[in-house]
Amino acid sequence: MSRRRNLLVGLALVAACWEAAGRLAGPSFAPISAVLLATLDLYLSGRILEPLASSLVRFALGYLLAVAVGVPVGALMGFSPTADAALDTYVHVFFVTSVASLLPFLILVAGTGLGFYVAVVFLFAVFHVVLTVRTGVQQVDDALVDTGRVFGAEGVALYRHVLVPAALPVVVAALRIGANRAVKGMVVAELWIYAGFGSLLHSYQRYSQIDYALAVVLTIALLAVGVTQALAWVERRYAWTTVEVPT
Amino acid sequence: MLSARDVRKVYDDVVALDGVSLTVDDREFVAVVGPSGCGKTTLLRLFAGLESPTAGEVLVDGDPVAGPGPERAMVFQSFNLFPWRSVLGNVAFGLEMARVPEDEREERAREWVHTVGLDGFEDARPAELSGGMRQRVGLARALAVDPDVLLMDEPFGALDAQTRAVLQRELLDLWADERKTILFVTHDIEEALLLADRVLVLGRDPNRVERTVEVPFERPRVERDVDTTEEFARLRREIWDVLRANQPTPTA
Amino acid sequence: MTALSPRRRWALRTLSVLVILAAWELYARLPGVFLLAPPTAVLGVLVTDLAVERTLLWALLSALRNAVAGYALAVGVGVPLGALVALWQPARDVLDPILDALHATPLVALAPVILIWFGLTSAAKVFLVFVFAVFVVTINTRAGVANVPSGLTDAARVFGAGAPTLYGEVYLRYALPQVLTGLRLGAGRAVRGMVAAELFLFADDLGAYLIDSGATFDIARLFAGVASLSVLGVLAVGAIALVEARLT
Repeated sequence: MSRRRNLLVGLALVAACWEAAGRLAGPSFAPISAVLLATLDLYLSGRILEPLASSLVRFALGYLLAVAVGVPVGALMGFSPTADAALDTYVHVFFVTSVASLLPFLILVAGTGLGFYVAVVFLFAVFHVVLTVRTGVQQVDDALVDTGRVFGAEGVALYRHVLVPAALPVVVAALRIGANRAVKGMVVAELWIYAGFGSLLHSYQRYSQIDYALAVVLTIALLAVGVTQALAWVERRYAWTTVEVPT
Repeated sequence: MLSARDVRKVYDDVVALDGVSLTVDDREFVAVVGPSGCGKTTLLRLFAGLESPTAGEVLVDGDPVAGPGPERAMVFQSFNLFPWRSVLGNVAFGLEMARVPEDEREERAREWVHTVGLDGFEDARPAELSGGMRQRVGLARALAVDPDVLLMDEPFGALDAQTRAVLQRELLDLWADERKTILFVTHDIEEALLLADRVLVLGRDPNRVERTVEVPFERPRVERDVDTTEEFARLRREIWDVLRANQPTPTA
Repeated sequence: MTALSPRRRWALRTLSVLVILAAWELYARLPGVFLLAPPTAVLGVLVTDLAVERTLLWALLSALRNAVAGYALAVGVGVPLGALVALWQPARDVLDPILDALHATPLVALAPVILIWFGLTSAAKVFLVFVFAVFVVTINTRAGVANVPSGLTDAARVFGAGAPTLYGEVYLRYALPQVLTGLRLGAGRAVRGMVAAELFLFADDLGAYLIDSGATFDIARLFAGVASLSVLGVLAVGAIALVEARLT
């Protein structure tokens, strides 16, 4: 297919430019060949493994917490106008707050251990999850609800057979968006209190090892894209429709 | 004068037209009917110059069609008005592209807005208008450029039955004044018989002209006098039979 | 799921905010509570640092310069790039996956790399802001231009529109709302990029304001900084939203 050919040709061109730029630009840039070699070295020597593992743990804990809190809260706000009115202001205030600006505060509260990282990841992800779920639940078509009630579904049955299935696609979308945010939070936290990827990046930056630094960035990018795509796959497979949510 | 000679149009794997030949004489009103997927819109787009044939020739006055242009103006099923322009702005669009000076342009556009019965709506946006009104703008836009040929792609297909009837009447009245060459695509047999001099029935598999029906009714056509005649019913049946023979059969 | 009347809703929201503010105020005043500053103290600091001594104000304005430069760059690159990707199939095939991938990546990870590239310069901060904002601008522009219905371009061509009208009017006017959405979202991203630059590249006045407040346990000042940044973000997005409202 010519589209795939375009992609390959284009990527080859990009790689060629990168290689040329890297060789011409001197010590502060690295050609793609050097970055790929560095990546290979990081994996073969195993040096990336410990940071990767510890980063994933921080990510997972914060993310799961964000989902465990965010989905119910979002659903509650979606189903209950009272809860929505009460909580809405806070969610929006936190949504527009730069979590990064809270880092100096979070150190004081959570220390510099695992709790800090989990808190940052949690805060990065949870408000997006809440708002996505809330919007999705609110947008469940009234016509569906009416139809359910016409055929005798009320109370718990209504939730089980109409509201929950109808809102499912948006919950899955929220999981995807939350995961992406959680990865970002993980990197932010690890660059503030050096750990995992953050500490690798920091040490490579200190010694101006641009090729290794870019190799770590590449790994992070692959991780972020991989997680997002995996959840997008789940979304396509199991959600009966896909949802576009403004980011 | 329009003519198509043995025209084939293929998209990827889909054969939209397979050996279509037809002519439309000057000042003739020809309707093309056919089931969905028979390529009637494609045929129109070829004459409009929006696409080119895979094989065969599409000619206007003996010359092959080279591209779109206002001399073959088009009226679209989904209206295709520019939402950011007012009614007047839409009607004047073709004149603007032709670099007609502003005063003349505005005058001509206003005349056509009046002719299609939209006085007072010159400054309205398409979003504020009903479907029928929007198509009147579409008609005005097409007629304002004084085209040689009018290409109409199921222009009333998106309208409700009453509005459709009204606009059919108006089209007949407009056409009575200046008989332009019209190629009119529709899936509505009765509409075709009411409006046209000749009806071409396009079949499927292969996609080509299956039947040509001469419409004998005299002009000016009055619906009530025309569509209650036996002749009308007979022609309608004839066309319907051709179409039915060409319907894709559901696979068991 | 019956909706509340607007008045009830407003009342509930106000009540909820007041209750939390009151609880916060009371709790923060308790002896032995160091990690929370009462809202009144935060307000006091805000007034002092924004209006009276203006330390925070100057810090914000100074950091804002980098943000504006980075944002302008993001718009200047992002809008044409988005249009190109939308209109040219080969560009779309190559750049769509790359743009989507970069949009999903934690761009903060680039901060150490940017330091290597640019050193401790303003250019580094401008570049980081640019990187934060450009993808959202590009992707939205692309969506807007790609969504122009073929019926409209057909009509334009039939009635004699040349390239200037086709692109300068039809594509531009139709895509404008979506492009502006991208600009609005980009403004929010630019502010976040600005904060990231202060914290992860090197701290100027704004970064120092936040970091020093944390180091000296000056919670009220810390909250003041966070709050003013939130307000700044809202204002930046609001400014573009105003332009959006005017133009659509």
